[in-house]
Amino acid sequence: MLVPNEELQRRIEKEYSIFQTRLTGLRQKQNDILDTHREKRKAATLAALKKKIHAGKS
Amino acid sequence: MPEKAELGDSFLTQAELRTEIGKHLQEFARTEGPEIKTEREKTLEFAAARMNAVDAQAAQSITHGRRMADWEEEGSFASAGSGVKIRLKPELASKLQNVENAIRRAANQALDRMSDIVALAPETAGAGTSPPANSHRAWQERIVRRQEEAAKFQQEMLAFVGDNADAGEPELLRQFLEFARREDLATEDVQLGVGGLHKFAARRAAARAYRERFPDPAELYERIFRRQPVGRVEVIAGLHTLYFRCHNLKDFAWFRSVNFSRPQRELRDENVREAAHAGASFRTDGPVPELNGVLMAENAGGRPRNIESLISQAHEMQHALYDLFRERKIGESWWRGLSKRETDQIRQAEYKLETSENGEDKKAAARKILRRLRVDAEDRAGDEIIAYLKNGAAGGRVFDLLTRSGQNGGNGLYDYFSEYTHQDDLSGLMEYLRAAGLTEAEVQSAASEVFTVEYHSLIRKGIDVFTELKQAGYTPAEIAAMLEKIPLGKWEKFARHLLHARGKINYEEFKQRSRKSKAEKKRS
Repeated sequence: MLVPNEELQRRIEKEYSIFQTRLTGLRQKQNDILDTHREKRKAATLAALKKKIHAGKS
Repeated sequence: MPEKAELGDSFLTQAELRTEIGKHLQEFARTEGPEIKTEREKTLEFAAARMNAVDAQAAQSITHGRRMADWEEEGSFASAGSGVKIRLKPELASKLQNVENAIRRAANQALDRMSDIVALAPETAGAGTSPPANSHRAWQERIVRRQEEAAKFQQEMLAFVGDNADAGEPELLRQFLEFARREDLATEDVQLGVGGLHKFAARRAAARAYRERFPDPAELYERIFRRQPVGRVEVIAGLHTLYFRCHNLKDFAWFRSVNFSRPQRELRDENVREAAHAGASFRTDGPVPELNGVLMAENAGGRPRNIESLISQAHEMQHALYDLFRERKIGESWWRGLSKRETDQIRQAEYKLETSENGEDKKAAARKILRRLRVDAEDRAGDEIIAYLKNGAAGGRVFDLLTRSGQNGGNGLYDYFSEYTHQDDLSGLMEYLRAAGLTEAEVQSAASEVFTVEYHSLIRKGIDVFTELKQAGYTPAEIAAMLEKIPLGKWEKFARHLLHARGKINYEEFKQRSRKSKAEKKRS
């Protein structure tokens, strides 16, 4: 079975765009993980700070 | 020292050379291009560009994730190589690791599918040949054919140049393009061929100009090497080389060891001692830039020009040929000249070394990093194996020569690692490995594993590959031309595919060898 070259290039391009879509999703996920972590850390730091201030007052 | 203008326009600077090659390629594309670049090649090029993009984007995303994690933990972009310990919170690290794995899976799937599509390209299943059973078969055929063509090309060109010693560069180029059209060479091979021919023509012109200007061998030696020879010197002009037969050891040692890039040149006693063990030598660098890749010398020691001298010259000639079509420069520092992919692999190993709690993993990562220091030596060892075996040396003797240690005053003519002990590269790296938590004994055992056990086994295998291909019916010249473009570590794999594609071994044997080599890789 012979497939014309244009058809092959079209199929390759399609695979490429599928990969890019998946990669965009994964990068989003990566950023979400980091964001969540950052928020948690901020909250923890803030809590520790509050505790310290509180301890200083009393 | 002759002026550039006096010798006509045969010498070109690097930049001029590149422009020249560019011009040839443009001219080539204009006049011959459409016929040479087939539809299949366009598809292959297109696929290669997309595949590279997939690779690069995946690597970039992984690096991005790690950088951000570093930033989170350290408050700065701590690079993995700086020796700063990265302590990720286990939870964050494992989540990011999952994403990384998913990125790798996605990239691998895309690459697999693309290579399956490429295998359907019309001319791959061309008229007259049976269609490939699967993409793997098509891929195998492609890499095998490419090396066989390279071998054919080198022999045709050598025969042509031998018959027409005065053929100018345009004539050589025409001959090459005819060959390229007939054999439907890949674009990158056309580029490599044109570059090699250009180097060849420039070197031949330079060698001739010097030879004609200074017919007296002693004067020629003095003009090139900036030192009056102590003893008698003979000069034998090759196709594009000048072969000096030095009858005094000091003249030979001067050629072999002196660093011409330094303003103060001196010959040390150890240089003379080392030179006494060598038969002949080829240098890619030298005092006259346009003669780089042209100069060779023999430790002739008063002997007449006998068969031994001819063999030495053939050996050095092979190095000169290798140098014409070489893509990587020997002597480049270990970290320069690495591809993006290789850099990424090192970064991964460094990451593993610094974060892993498992001692075995740490040691494996250390070995991976140390292997980068071996690249240059592997390249040179491959070059030597080819040069020796092409001229009929016995495999056992070559192995012995290449693995002899240069320490404790031994005759380690090819002990490339003894050079490293003077370099900061290795000591800095060892320091880094210790800082990453390996004990002194572990560092030493990793180094001896990489530089002795594995390296020797690579050489042994390289020699076996050459011998096996010879038994399979290839001539030494063909084998040399095929192997010289492949890194030593990949010879075995190439030979496996070549022998299978040409029906010298059956599929079971092929599979068994693949499994064996995979298992070996896994173990290390």
